[in-house]
This record gives sequence, C-alpha cells and structure tokens, in this order.
Amino acid sequence: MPEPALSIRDLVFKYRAAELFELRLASLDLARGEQVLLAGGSGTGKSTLLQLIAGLMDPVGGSVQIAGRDIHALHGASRDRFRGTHVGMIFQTFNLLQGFTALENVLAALMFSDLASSQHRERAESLLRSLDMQRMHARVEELSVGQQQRVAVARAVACKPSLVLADEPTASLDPENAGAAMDLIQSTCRANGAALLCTSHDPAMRPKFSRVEALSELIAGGAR
Amino acid sequence: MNDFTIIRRSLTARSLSTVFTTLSVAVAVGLMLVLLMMRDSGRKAFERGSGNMHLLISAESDPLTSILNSVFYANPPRRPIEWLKFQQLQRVAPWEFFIPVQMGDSYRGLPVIASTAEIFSKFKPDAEQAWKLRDGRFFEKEFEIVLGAKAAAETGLKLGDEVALTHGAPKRGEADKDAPAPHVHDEFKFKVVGVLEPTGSAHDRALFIDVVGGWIIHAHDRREAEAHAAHGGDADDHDHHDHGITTTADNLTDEDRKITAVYARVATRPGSDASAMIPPTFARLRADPTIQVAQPTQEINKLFQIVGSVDQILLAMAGVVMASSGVSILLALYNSMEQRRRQIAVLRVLGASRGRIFRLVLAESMVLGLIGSAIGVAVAFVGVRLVTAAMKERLGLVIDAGIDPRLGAIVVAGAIVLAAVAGLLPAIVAYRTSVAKNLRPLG
Repeated sequence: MPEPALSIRDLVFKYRAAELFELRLASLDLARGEQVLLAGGSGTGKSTLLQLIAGLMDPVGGSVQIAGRDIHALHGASRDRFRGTHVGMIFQTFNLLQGFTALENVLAALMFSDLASSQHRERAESLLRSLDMQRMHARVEELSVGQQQRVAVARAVACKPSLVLADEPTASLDPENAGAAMDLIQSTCRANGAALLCTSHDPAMRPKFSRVEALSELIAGGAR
Repeated sequence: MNDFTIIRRSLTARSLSTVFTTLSVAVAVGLMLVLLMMRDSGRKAFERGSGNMHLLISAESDPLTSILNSVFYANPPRRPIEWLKFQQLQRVAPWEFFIPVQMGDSYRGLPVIASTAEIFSKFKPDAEQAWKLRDGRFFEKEFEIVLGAKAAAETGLKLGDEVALTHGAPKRGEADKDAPAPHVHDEFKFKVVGVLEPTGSAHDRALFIDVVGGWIIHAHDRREAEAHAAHGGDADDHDHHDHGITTTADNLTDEDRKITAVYARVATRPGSDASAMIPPTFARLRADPTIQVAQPTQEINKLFQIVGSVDQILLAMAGVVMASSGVSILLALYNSMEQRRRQIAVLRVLGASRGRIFRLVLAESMVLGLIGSAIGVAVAFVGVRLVTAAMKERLGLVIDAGIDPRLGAIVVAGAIVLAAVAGLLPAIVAYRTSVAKNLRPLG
C-alpha cells in the first residue's frame, strides 16, 4: 500500500511572540490523490497549519509526513528541495512573481524540481495550454484575475507534487468565479495525481469535496 | 529559466535605479582606467621624445623648461646660443653626436626645426627606433624641408610642394612678449623632399630644415633692417618691406649663426646607452653660467615626481568615486529588499534555499559591477581619446595611450569584488527574510 500523501500526528505549534496561541492537531491523513476541504473561519489557524505542513514553520512537537517523509526531520536546503519537489502551494492573492511572464512563473517552480531542465519549457507550456492559458508570454500583472489564477494553479502542479496546499484560493472571487476556480484547481490536481488540502471559510465550496474537515474539530487547542 | 533570468527581471523591474547604479560604477572604473592609462603612456611619450640623447644644452632659464621647449615644442626657446659658444662646447667632451638645433620659426603654427643632417643620421627620437622615411629623402641642402608624420597629415603637404615659413612662432603667453612679431618670408620657398614615418613623439608635429636655411632667414631680416636704417628708418622698427635684398649663405655672419639648443650624446661602447663620461661631462657643462644643461631622463623623472603627487590625488579621488559606487549598489539593493520580500518568500516556497537566495542577490550585485565595468572600459577608451587630443592641442605632447590588459583586468575585477562586498548586506537581509511573514495575507 502506497504511503499517504499527508500524515500528521500529534502536531503541536506555539507562536513564540504570542503565547496565547497554541495549535494542537492529533491526526490528519490524506490518501494519494485525495481532496479534502479544511473548513474554518478567520483566525482559526488554517494558514498556520498549511505553513507547518509545507515546512515553512517548525512545530514544537509531532510530525508531518509527506509521501512518507517527515518534512521537519529535514533541515535547510534539503527541506527546501523536498518542498520544491513534493508540495505545491496556491494562495488567495496568488503570490505570482511580478515582472515575470506567465510562462516564467511556471518555469520558476520547475527550476527547483527534479525534472531535467531540457523538459522544463515543454512541461510549463503544456500545463498552461491545458488550462486554456493563451497569453503565456504576457507579464502576470497584465493578466486578468482569472488568468492569474490559472498561472498559480499551473505553478502549483508543475513539479508533479504529491500534495497541493491551497490557502483560501477563492476568497477574493465572486461566487460564480469562485466555483469555477475551485473546479479548475480540483481537476488540475486530479489530472496531475496530486492530493489537495484546501482551506476555505466559504460554505459554498463544501459540496465540491467528498471529504470536509472542520478545523475547529481537528485541533485540540486552538486559540485560547 | 535560470538564476540569470531572475537577476535580469529584478534589475529591469527597477530600471532607473539600475541605470544610475551602473553608471556610477562605469564612471568610477572609467576614471580609474583613464588615470592609469594616461600615467603610463604619458611617461612613455616623454621618454620617446628625448630618444637617445644624453644631454640637452640650451640657454633657457631652467633645465625642465629647456626640455619642454626644445624637445616637446611647448614654447619657442627665447635665448640663443652663439655659434662660437657652440664650437667651444663641442670641444668639452668626446661626443657621439653634438647636433645644433634652432627653433623659433613655424609653418601654420607647427614648429620648424633647423638642424644638420645628423639629426636624422645620429639622433633617434625613440631610443630603440631611428627615423624612417615614408616618402622621399632627408634634406641635403638649405631650402629643403622634411615633414613629420602629423605635420604632413595636418598641412596636407606632399613631396614637391613649396612652402614659405613664418619667421617667429605664434605667441603663447607672457613668456613670448619680447619675441619678434611673426612674419611670412615669401621670398624663401622651401621644397618638401621627405615625409617621415610616425615616431609617437612630439617630433611628429615638426617640420625639419637645414640649419643654414634657418640662418639665411635670420640674416635676411638683419640685412633688411640694416638697409632700412641706412635709408633713415629705425632698424628696430623695421616693417619688412622689400629693399631688393637677396640673401644667401655667403652673407651669413657669426651673428646670424645662432642656435637655441644642442642635442648631445657622449661616446659610448657599441650597444650600450650608459657611459661613465656622462656625469663628469654634465658637471663640467653645468659649471658654465651662460648655458643650461639638462639630462632628459632626470628632468622627466622630476616632472613625473611633480605630476605624480597630483596623479596620486586623482587616483585617490577615483578610489573614492569607486567606493561611492559600491555604496550606491548597496543602497539600491538594500532599498529594493523591502519590495522584494514577497518575491523572495515565493521563491522559497517554490523550493529555493536560503543559500540560493543569498547567492542570487550577491550575483545581482556582481552583475551590476560587471555591466558598470564594461561601460567603464568603453568610457575609458573615449575619455583617453579626449584627453590625448587635449594634450596634443594644448601641450603639443603626443601620447599614444593604450590599455594594459592586466591593468584593465585588475580594475574590472576590483569593481566586481567591490560590488560583491556591497551586495553582502542586502544578501544577508534576503537570506534572513521570513517566508511566513511575507506571504500574508493568507486567510
């Protein structure tokens, strides 16, 4: 049986600067290719959890395994390299590289992947084409919000990651576009074999996922 | 897509800052290179002019002035040496050559050197290189003229052309206020018989005639003044109108046979430039209060000691400009860090390590140094051309400034290292950029 895409055990995190905040999560698993919606309101610690999973923050206890590898057991460049090859991230504000073209934004993710550099361009172009992205040589600041979202999605799956973390990816969109954007993210992750852990406070997104977890039920501590 | 693409995008995103920072490096490198190039080639130009002479004898007020006037044609020498004195000095030592030189005439502002055939057969303008003719031959008698390479180029004269010389050179400042007013001697036509190859020295701007021809012009002036006085005028107020006088070598008196300098070389062993005879000969000549004796090598060294201190100040200033360009790089990159924190955070999320981010910023700083240096080298080439043109125009000094590749490489490498040092602080800031803080808002 293959390793799960994500396996969290007894995770404990405390903000050094804010002693009042503590996050405890006993267990969370995502199977390969599984798509889970993590529901919760603002300030419940959704973003903090995603950053812990991506290895951008360090917990005080517990483990986060991605594709069978504890990301927090890795340090420095090894962890960064592992994140680059196994984790894709999509943000509410996309966080695209300003001044770079759509194609370059996707190529930037491939720079840190295991994929041979001779295949980078072909992979990036085919991904953008599959997302119906016509203006791949335009700078991202010249693109519409919808097109920027496509670039962000393509970038997240470019390295063929085991897991895509999406942090409120539809929060800045109107309801109609939010639904379409979520469909795009889900279908792209499915097509690229990546599991998806998506946070959202929008109840309209719940029907799109077969599994929905409420963060407030998962975390033992939460904001105190 | 590679690190260079990221650096390029980063530089173009703040193009104005990049342009000004690069220009500050370019100016610093250019200034440094121009100063270094001018220093080396300026010295070479001075050494070339005095060639293989050991001593320069004149009646000038000081040795350096005599070198500047009689070898580099800065101003026409004012005080002459009588012919009898020349003959007396000729007996002082066993000379390898002892060549009389008379200056003071000109053609279209270019100096005319009246001498003997030995100036071509024995004196070398460059210690390593004798004169070479591009066309024709050297002069063999009076009223024949040989053109220096630049003089030929500037005047457009060619073999067979005939020219009338101006007696007296154009006035240059207070030193010449007592010199006779320049006047053209149309009655004496000098025929161009030779054109010299370039020597890279001030001699290239000169026109050479037989010294007897120069004396005849002087004698003609004297005789006309005498004729004018005989007709009741004032000999000193002579206006050079025609008295029907014809002057030849036969009319020369000792008074007409004046020279302004002597190019001298004591006897040496074949293949050797040094001679034990130089110091005693120099000392003996220096004891004569009516003349000035100069050792060109020593005078050029003295000149460069004077110029050297200015040179060092200028080099120090160039160093300060270089350091300030490093500060410009530091400030430009450091200020850009505030706007680039999100970009750095995104690259970290995509898999870039802290070390790679550090190297990216450092490389960006070095690219600024590299581009600035490349422009600086181009600026140096243009700058040197401008400076050498000005030196030629104002001082008559022909400087063949070239770049020493090692020197250029050291300055360029220094600028890149300085840029790297300037990029250290921004690189450390980039290294320490918090990913979590700079990806907000995250929901």
